[in-house]
This record gives sequence, structure tokens and C-alpha cells, in this order.
Amino acid sequence: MSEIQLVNNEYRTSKSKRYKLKNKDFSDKLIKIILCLFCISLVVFLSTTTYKWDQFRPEIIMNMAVSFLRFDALKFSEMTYIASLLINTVFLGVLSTILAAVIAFPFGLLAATNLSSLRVSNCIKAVASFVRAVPTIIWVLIFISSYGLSATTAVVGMIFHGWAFFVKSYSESFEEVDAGIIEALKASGASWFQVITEAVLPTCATRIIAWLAMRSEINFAVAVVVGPAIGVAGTIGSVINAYSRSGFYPGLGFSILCVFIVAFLFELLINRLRTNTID
Amino acid sequence: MSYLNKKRNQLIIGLFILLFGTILIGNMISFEWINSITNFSKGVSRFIELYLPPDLTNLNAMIAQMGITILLAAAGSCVGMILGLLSAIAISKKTGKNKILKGVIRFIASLTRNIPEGVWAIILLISFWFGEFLAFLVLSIISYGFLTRVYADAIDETNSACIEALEATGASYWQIIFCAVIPEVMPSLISWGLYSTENNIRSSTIIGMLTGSGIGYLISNYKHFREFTSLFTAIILVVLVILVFDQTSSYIRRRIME
Repeated sequence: MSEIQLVNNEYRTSKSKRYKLKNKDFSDKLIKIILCLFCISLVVFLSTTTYKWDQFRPEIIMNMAVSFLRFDALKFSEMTYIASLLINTVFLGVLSTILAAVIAFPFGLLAATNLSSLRVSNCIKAVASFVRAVPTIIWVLIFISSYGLSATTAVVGMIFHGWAFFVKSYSESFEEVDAGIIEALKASGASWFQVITEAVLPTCATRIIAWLAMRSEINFAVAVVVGPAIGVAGTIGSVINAYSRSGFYPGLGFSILCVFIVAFLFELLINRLRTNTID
Repeated sequence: MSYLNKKRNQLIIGLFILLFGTILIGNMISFEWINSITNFSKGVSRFIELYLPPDLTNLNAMIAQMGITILLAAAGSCVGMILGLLSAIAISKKTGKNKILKGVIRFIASLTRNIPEGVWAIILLISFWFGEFLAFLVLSIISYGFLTRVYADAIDETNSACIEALEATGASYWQIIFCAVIPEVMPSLISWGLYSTENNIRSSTIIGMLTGSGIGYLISNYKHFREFTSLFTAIILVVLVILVFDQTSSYIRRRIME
């Protein structure tokens, strides 16, 4: 039974002569402090915010719940319109993911410590972590002044945040490549380029595909919100916003169902890819 | 040699399909390829012209709103942690007992997780109206969906020896939960809770724009009134808070997980 280990130090006793079975250390205290902070923030928030309960309209929720799934009230042309907007939204997310992944690839190689020098890698990682700290929606907001309220703005803004995401994830997965393989290839006279195409890419390919799917899901969620939050037209978010303002709940329910189905399919895909990479 | 040639040809064909598909998708959503490159330098110079130098006159109001945002994020993930832990206990393979309850909670968690936060804000806006409480609800909902899944995974990964030992001594279900399961998942509970707080701070810009609360409300206001220099200050504040929170939470995570 190697799992059972003898404890070297003797058990200490507390003031009431009971044995202390656990050695308390800093991390235990830290856990307690953070739990307390969470609870305090909840209590402080609930006690300081005054929500006027006469604003709350339960009858609207009831009305929504009843008419959400009444798709018979929906014309066929409206359904096709919503579906086309949904496809637009998915494409927006996928396009910005692909472009960000392609642009980030050379930077990811330079940011991996086993493939480039330490100084270059630290530099690129610092820039990437700064870019990643700016929320995606802010990047989209910044580019409105140059491209106007169009799909181009959304794509360019999402590319920026996605670039930083991919630099981080690429460099992490490149650093996990077995050093022995790289060394063997170098010893046999392979160039830097050959090391990448023959050793790094084949080992990371499945993981890169998983990252792509994950980022596509994030970008899809951003593309949905870009319409109502900033005003970029042509995604499903703007139609959701319009239906909820005008009170046409069957249309709202149908478009939310569409968003849910797409996000659910993305999640299934990511889970499948993740189990593939672990195996 | 023919094998390598075949492989290379396949790779080239695949890359061509990818390239062609990307261009096609770009044209379908009317993405302006040439404009996006040629206008980029102009965009950067316009950004510098409009947004710089940052205007610090409203800094106090911004810091106050940022404080509200952080409080909202922490309170939302606290609710998410409590409800998420209970749901995770109900749906985990090791501790879940009731099959119907399992199915219902799985469905609810998947619904809350897969509908984007902005859509939740829009749906709830009609019946709850603008304000901090709505933002709190939305943040709780999205952190609940996320935390339920990761907590269930964490409980699945725990060592079942502890549970079996307690079962052998005749402990009841709740005794097993409180004496074996929760202490074992406590570090990952905290670290995922911090992660979700961080996510909440990130997404509170979007939620603030839609629900009129916190720093996102100020950002959307500055955008509407074209006060870009103040907007830039607010962005810097958000970035600073996220960077500091990121560093502290990763330090805490390292200390806890060891």
C-alpha cells in the first residue's frame, strides 16, 4: 500500500485537547478569504441596490412563455429571413476566426519559447495579453470610426481579439511539443521551416482545430450581440432586439431558438474535438 | 515517394478549398476585402485623432461605475457558484441520484449556457427594465450555466475512494456530500469562481451597454454623445482592471491548486 504514507510530524492538539488532523496552511486561509469576499459582495450588492419592484412585470413573462413557441403565427418569409440572418451571423463568426487564426500563426510560432528566442517570445506574449484584456466589443467599437457600421467593422474588431487568443493558445500548444522530436529533426539537418511542418504542425493539428471551433463559438456570441449593442446591422441580434421592442414574441422565440440550436451544435462539436485530443 | 506526393497534393487542395471558401463567405456577408486593408492606416490615424489624448475629467464617476461593475461581477458569480454547486451535485455521475432531476437540470444549464449573455439581457429587459438588478440577473444566469458544467466535471474527476470509505462507515448522502465531495472540490470551486468573475467583468461591457449599468453604460453614453476622449479613458480603466484581476486571480489559482 504505497498510497498510505506515514505522517512524520506528530499530531498537534488544540486548546481543548482535541487532535488537529489537518495542517492548516496559507492556501486554506486564502480559500476562506475568497469565499468570504464573494459572500460579502453578494450581500453588499443586494443590500445597496434598490430595485423598484413596481417595474417588474410578471405578466409579460407569462405572455412570453405562452406565445414563445407559437410558430404558426410566423409567416414563412419571416422564417427564411431569420434563417438567412442566422447564416450571416455564423459566417461572420467563422470568417473572423479563420482570418485571426491565419494572421496569428506566425506570431504563435515566434511566441513559443522552444521555437524562438526568449526575448521575442516575451515581447509578443505581453502585447497579446494586453490586446486580450480589451473586450471584443470594444475593439469593434474602436473600428467604427474607420469602416462605419458594416460587417467589415465587426470582422476587423473580432480579428484583433481573436489574434491575441490564438497567439496564446498556439504558443501554449507549440510549447507542449516533445522536445526530443524537435532535437532529432534538428540533428538530422532539418531547417526551422521543416521542423515546423514535420514536427510541430502534425502534433498540434487536432488541438488547433479544437481551438478554431472554440473561438468560432465565442465569435458567434459576439456577432449576435454586435447588432443591439453597437448598431452593426445584418446579424440575428438586431432582429431579436427589434422583435422584443415591438412585442412580437413568436418571432423572438423562433430567433432565440435558432441561436440556441447553433450554440448547442458548437458545444457538441467542441466536446467531440476535445475528447479526440485527449485520446 | 508517391505517398508523400499524394499527401502534399491533398494538403494543397485542402488549402485551396479553405481559401476559396473564405473568400466566398466574405463576399456573402459583404466583407470589404480591399477596403479593410487600404483603410486600415487611415482608421488608425483617425483613432489617434479622435481618441487621444484621454480626457480625465470624469475619472471619479468612471471609477465609481467600475466599482459597481466589479461588485456586480462578483455577486453574479457568487449566485452562480451556489446554484451551480447544487446543480452539479445533482447531475454528476458520482453523486446524482434522480434521473428526471438530472435531465431537467442538464437542460436548464445548457439553455443558460448556450444563449449568449446579450440575448439574455434583451429578453429580460422587457419585464425587468433597465438597471443594476437586471445586469446582476444576467450575470448570475450566465455564470450559473458555465459553472454547473465545470463543477460537474470537477466532481466527476474526484477520487471515489473517499466517497466509498464514507459509504462503508454508513454515512448518509448529505454527510458524504459535505465531508467528502465538497472539501475535495473546494480548490477548483474557488478557481473556477474566480474565472467566472473575470469573464463577468469582461462581458459586463456588453451587458452594461444593453442594461444601462456599470462601466458599459458610460461607454455607450460616451459613444452616443461622441465624447471619444472620455470613452478612451473608460477603455483604459477597463483594461487596467482586467489585467490586474487576471494577474491576481492567476496567482491565487496557483497558490490554491499547488
